[in-house]
Amino acid sequence: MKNSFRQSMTWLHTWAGLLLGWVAYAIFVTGTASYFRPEITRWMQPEVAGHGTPIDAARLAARALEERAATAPRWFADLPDERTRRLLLLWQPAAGRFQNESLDPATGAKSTARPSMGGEFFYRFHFQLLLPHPWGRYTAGLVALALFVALLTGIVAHRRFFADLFLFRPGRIALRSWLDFHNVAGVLTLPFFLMISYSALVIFHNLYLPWSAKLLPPEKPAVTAQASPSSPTAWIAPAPLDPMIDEAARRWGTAHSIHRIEASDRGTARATVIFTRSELDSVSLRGRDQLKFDGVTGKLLDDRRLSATDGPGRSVHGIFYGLHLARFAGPLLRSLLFCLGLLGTALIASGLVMWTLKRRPKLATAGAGGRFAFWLVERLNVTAIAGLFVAIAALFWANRLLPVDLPSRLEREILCFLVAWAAMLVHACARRTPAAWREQLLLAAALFILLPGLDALTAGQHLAAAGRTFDLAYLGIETFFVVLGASLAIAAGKVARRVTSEGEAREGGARSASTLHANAADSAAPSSPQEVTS
Amino acid sequence: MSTVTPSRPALRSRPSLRTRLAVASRTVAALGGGYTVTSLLSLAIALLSRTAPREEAIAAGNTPAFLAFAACILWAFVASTATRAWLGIGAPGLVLGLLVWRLQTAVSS
Repeated sequence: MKNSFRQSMTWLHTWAGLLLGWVAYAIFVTGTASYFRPEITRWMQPEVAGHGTPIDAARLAARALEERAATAPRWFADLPDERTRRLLLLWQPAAGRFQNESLDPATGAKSTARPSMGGEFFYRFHFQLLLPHPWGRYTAGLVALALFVALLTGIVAHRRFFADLFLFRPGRIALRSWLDFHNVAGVLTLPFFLMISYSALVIFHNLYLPWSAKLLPPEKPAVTAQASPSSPTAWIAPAPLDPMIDEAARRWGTAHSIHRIEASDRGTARATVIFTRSELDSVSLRGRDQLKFDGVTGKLLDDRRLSATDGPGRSVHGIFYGLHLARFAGPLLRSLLFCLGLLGTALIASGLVMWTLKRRPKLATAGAGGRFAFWLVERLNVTAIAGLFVAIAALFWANRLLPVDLPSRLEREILCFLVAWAAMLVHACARRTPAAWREQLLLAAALFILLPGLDALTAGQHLAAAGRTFDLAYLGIETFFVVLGASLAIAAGKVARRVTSEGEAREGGARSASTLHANAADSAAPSSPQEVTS
Repeated sequence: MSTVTPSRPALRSRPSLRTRLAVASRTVAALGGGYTVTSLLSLAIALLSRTAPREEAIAAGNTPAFLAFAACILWAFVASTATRAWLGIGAPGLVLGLLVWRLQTAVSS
């Protein structure tokens, strides 16, 4: 629409990127954190001790469910594994909503750990954004689509992207080094980004594209009609779970074993119990083994891999889903994905900063509306990019400082996150841009660097225990807090100068910035070949 | 290489009403038209593979369909005029709509 294909792509990249960039940034930060969801939970619930094998936990879960919900038609139990110290029971009474309870995975007693969402907060925020269902998922889908489009347009806008890979000039001209960083990060992470954004769309495909599910006739209407739990028939005693757990242990071993137990239609003749194995050995989420038992006789009905009967549709969907969640990844690959997530986060941030940098030289001639829009974008940039880290740090501080027995403690932790973020918005509006950047980044840096100290003061015995057993999850998180805090502090020193062109003007770079702007309008990469080789 | 326009319409030059309407029209074509084409494509694939199990047919249709959405958005802003943008999205939409209608009457009969 603007003269040429590439210019129209650049235009689309700029505007779609700005409108959804802030949400995309928050989604990327929380999504990157979600790679270490169980480890974050481990830190935020330090009371939960180690546990035995999944088989031991399965026996504890079976006993606990029998005590709590002997006549409930549906049972679920999520069992702990190498990374997750969680034993979660869910049951649906004959009439009423699902109930759940967390148990101590070592003893099977009611968990006494401090109520906290732990890593689950980041995971939920990543696709629900604290919005009521299903609006968070719709927003996340829109962001995923915009990101996918932004990548395609970005490839065109920065068409010399293979040359860009060898081009990074962290010099004094702010816009140029931001642009180089944006290009280098974009090229390095391109395959990761394409995978992440498309798989994000595919995961909730039934929510975004419900039409086939509405149009295609249901498969077995006879069974679903019968399945109403309120049928007034006599209770048929279900088979005990323990022999089934033995069978699962025989087939799968004890270490990398049962992930979830699901008992359906309990009390009826159609009762079934399904054991699902942890999916750690397969990329696809459909690559999981399942054992299906008759819930009345306890006989094994089926032993198969979920994907055994999949056609291309479900196979590809399962692989996309599995790639996005990366449960298959070992520590090394997981850390690599985490770094790619961080790089992606920085990529989005640099794009948002560039939007303001490019427009600042023209600000003098802009109308009142244009000035206000620019002012607003700068405030929102500070709040979204730097303020989010203050809010996350506040969440971790609240986790250690709120009394363990505080009523609705879990919700108050999240409230602290929101209040801190809102305070950062107020702060960004009250301060001049360079000061707002510097102060928020420094505050986040200080909060993160001091976290291990706070932990030693408030949960010293847990930290000491983690040190004795060399608990890599716990100590790794503590180390990462310090590294993150140090990085934020370094950023505070540099960024305040570079996010505005004031620094440039002082150094006499304003002229080159304006010529660069003309260049950037034409091609993202500078046009002289010497610069590529230098 | 393309010709470079020296001044790009950013904060300085206010775009005309005509330009604004054209951008709005393209946005509607990209999002509304794009979503319609995406839905129709997913339905067409699902109906074509309806001999497979239900979940398989749905996944087979929905998984690749988002590619059409991205293509529509790109086209809506690449086309030289807003009319061409609408034509490029409407034509495949019409074809897919007819295909879905034919397949659907075949299913229900």
